[in-house]
Amino acid sequence: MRVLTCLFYEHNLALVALAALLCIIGSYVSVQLFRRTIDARGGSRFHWCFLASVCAGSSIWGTHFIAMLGYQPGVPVTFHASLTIVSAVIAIGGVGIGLLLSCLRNRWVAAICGGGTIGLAISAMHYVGMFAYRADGIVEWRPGYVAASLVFAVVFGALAIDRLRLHNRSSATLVATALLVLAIVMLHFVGMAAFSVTPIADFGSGPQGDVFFAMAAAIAMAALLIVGTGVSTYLVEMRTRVDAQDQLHHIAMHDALTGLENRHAFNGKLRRRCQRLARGGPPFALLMVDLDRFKPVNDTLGHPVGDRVLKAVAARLQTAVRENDMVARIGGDEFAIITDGLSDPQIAGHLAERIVDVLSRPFVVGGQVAEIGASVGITLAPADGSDAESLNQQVDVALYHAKHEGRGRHSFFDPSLTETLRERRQLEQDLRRACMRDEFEVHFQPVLDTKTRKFIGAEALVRWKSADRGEVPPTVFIPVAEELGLVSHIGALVLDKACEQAVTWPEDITVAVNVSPVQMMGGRLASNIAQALHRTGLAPHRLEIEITETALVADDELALTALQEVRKLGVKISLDDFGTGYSSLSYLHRFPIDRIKIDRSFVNQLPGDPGSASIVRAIAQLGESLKLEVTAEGIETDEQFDYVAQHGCGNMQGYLFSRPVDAASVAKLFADAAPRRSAA
Amino acid sequence: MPIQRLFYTSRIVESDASRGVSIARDIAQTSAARNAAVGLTGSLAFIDGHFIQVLEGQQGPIEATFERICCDFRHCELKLIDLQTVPERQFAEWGMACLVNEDGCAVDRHAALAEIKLLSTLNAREAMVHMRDLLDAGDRAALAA
Repeated sequence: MRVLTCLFYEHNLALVALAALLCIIGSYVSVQLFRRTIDARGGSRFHWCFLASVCAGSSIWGTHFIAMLGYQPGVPVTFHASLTIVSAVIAIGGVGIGLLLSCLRNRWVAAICGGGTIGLAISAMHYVGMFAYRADGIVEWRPGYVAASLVFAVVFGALAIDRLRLHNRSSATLVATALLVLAIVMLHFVGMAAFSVTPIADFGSGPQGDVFFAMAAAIAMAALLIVGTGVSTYLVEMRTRVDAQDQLHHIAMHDALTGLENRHAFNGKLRRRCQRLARGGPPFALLMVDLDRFKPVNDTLGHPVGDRVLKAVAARLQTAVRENDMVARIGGDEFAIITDGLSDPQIAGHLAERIVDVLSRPFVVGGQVAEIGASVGITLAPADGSDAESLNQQVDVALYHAKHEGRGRHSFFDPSLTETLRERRQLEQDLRRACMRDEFEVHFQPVLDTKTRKFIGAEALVRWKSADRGEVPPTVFIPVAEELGLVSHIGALVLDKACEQAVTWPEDITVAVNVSPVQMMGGRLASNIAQALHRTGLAPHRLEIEITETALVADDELALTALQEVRKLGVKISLDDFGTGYSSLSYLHRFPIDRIKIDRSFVNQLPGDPGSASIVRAIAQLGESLKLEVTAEGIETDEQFDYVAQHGCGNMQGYLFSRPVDAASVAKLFADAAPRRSAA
Repeated sequence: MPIQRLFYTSRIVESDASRGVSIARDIAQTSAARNAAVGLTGSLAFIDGHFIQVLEGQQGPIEATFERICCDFRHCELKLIDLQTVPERQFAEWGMACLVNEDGCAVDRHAALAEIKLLSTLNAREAMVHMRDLLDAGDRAALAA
């Protein structure tokens, strides 16, 4: 009751209103800044704390001072200057300390210590301010009200901080603002009720109304300026934060190189499209684009050129699709396209053709020309599927099919493709296991001397006897092994086993082992051979490696180095399947080759086909003039044997003499032949 | 400053085949205007549904222009025949000279164009010389008339 009487009868209400306005605005801004201080981390927390405590301290002090000016005790009043200033410093410093305590980890400790300190700071400011207030009368204090005012300030202060710590919503901010206003107001007016001045009759009673009003206005303005500074700092920082967030969001959803959306954005969009589909949304097509032959561009022209090609690819894709279609880069050289509203396979196919066409055109970058291409997989939603995961799998299957059908084409998803892919995956898995379990055997096909018709050697041929599949032909598993990078491993196994067998044969019999291009370019061919020879004790001149022309075409410098190293070991080199590839006579001259093997496709058509006959003749003559051995492969009939023998092929192999047989049989064959030969 | 010369051939898409000559003229006209700004010169021939184009100029503009050509869906089967640094321009006077088979044009012009098309796949240099000769012949005819 005394509080209300005090408020209405002893105060100038205009100044009280001004104080209330400053209190509310100041508190609102301060609470915003409190929030930033609590949310901030590291050094910036101190900056925010400084700003918040200056803003809150000035508001509290300004509110108190204006209200004091509005207090009309009915006696002349003066202010003690330094104490007044000290009270302002206490407000700012106290709030600062309270605010730092409010950032403590434990919410309760933070609220009680931090909020309590802020409440105490308000109280300390008030009572120090009261000591600076010099009224010419008999001053009387009521301790009960003083204690009550302290309790109010501490409790409301703690509650305000508690609200701020609990929620991050704007409603919490408003509640905290109200609590802070209550803390200030309750302290002030309860505190004022604790204080009374009885005038001494002799003194004049006119309060210095105008002067006080001007002073109040000046203080309010200064306090509001400080509060205003707080507001603008807060807003500027807020704007920067929003901009930074937008930028981060853009970075998170886009590919830095091409500016296209990335895998993350693509996954999100595909999911949303599927959700929309479930609610009866429009159909769409999902296209997956994979670049063909892009790795060689990076390898041979360098990554900067590769990057510029990727940028151009992104731009071309965007011209190929419709304006609202999404093009995303979801991997190094993989792109995905979502086209809304597309359900007609013919149109989807047409779009894929456009993409394949536009990416098959050359890229001219920095004076270099890159020729790549693209394969495209297509799946249609909801015709093929309607959830993101299965659509992704289907489009992968379709893309895989397109790539395996020869690249530079597109392929639609079809359930039967899944089966093909599953079989293929199974084969891959079995092959990996075969490598671990060593399910490979080596068979040998003998080679004969044409003139003496005696065995001079054998070609080692790999056989895979799978526990589950039975015998798998090399034509099936070797390409898979090449793709999986297992071919070098298998090649080394075969080499080892072949050498192991050959040591047991008569000493004039050689063994030939096929070497794949991958093995040859791997850089370890010579050392592998040396190890195998060392381990088995086979004389180097009894080993011959067979290479194909494709290995020489790929990178002839590397091939030349590899072959020269092999030659240094004393091992011979023969060129397999001669006449079928990019046969170039320059190979025979440039590379250290000892033998050429005429491909069976020519021999098969002997002697009837004049074309084949002349090729065989020409190769045989070539061998003679370049001093190379010549072997004819695939001899099946006597006529073929006669023709080949007549035209100067020194050696031959084929079913006419022997199929490839296992190690034991070939050893027996050679052993049986040996005594006869020595007898002859 | 070294000059680059780029030579490619392509085929007009089926749907536009009937309007080929007017399309070729449009392309030559727009590219002549655009080329002037970036210092490119060249020549575009359109024969029996095939485009044969030469671009000459600095590497940057050549590559930017060729990339734009590669994004054009009015043609297909685009083949880059030749790209090399050359000492001088062959079509310095033309932003983009246009060689088309006009209605009622002389029989020998038709034959010359067919020859250029044939040469384009065999010998790019010769094809360009023929294009230049045909342009000069056209100029002489215009002067005579």
